Amino acid sequence: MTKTSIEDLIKNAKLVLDLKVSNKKVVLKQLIKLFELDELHENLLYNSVLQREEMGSTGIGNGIAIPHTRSMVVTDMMIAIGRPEKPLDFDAIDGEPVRLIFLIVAPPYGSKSEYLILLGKIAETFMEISSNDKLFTFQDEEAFKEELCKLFSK
Amino acid sequence: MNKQLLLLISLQELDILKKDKEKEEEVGFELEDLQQMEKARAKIVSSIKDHIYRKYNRLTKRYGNAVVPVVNNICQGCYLVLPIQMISPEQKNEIVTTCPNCGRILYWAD
Repeated sequence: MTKTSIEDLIKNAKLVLDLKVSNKKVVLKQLIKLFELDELHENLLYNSVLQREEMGSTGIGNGIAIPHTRSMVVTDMMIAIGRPEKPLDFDAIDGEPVRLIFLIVAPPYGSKSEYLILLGKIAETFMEISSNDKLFTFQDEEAFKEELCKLFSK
Repeated sequence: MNKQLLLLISLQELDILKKDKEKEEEVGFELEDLQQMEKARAKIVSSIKDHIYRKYNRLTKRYGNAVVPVVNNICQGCYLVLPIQMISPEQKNEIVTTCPNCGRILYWAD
């Protein structure tokens, strides 16, 4: 995936910097809601994301979760980013709560490599990020996205 | 929405997940619960009518995907512009229909 396309995805990403959520299922529902789909599509997408989570948590450690799926509900790859108000239990592989969640959805047809490359890029970038990184403190959405783009361009 | 269609969509998404497993592991995810995946698949299959499941398998074998969305009246499997008279707006997603060109099962996404 090119730097530009990651930047475009981030620029167009749905974002909530103070998610008030109590558990994993609620956070997934809330992030899916950001895509503004109708109820049927919302439910289909939720089931698909949940189905994936049941096969193994997408909480990859270091406070990051990347729930994802390929679903017919969407025609283009989309991202919703949520930063919970308080660290949230996500059954992460290191057992630690998550502080940043990237929900990635892509259509089942077309190139799957772009989607998998994005998953890999986020995982790789955030494996090394410190828990004190300023990304966790931004209150301004634009500043947050700008910082995110900088991280991905490294 | 037609329940059979709903089940087919779930089945296909599970099959895609299975197909992506190896690649996901390459980028660092762990998909450990294969038994759970097979159980979930079997449960879905048990609720799908035999002739529809046979069609699903046949199409998957041939094209890699049996259910495709229709966007702007275009089958996203073979890109045929579907004849307008093929289905009434009320019947969309309420009956299981197939593309007159490629035969894939259609899901109206818009």
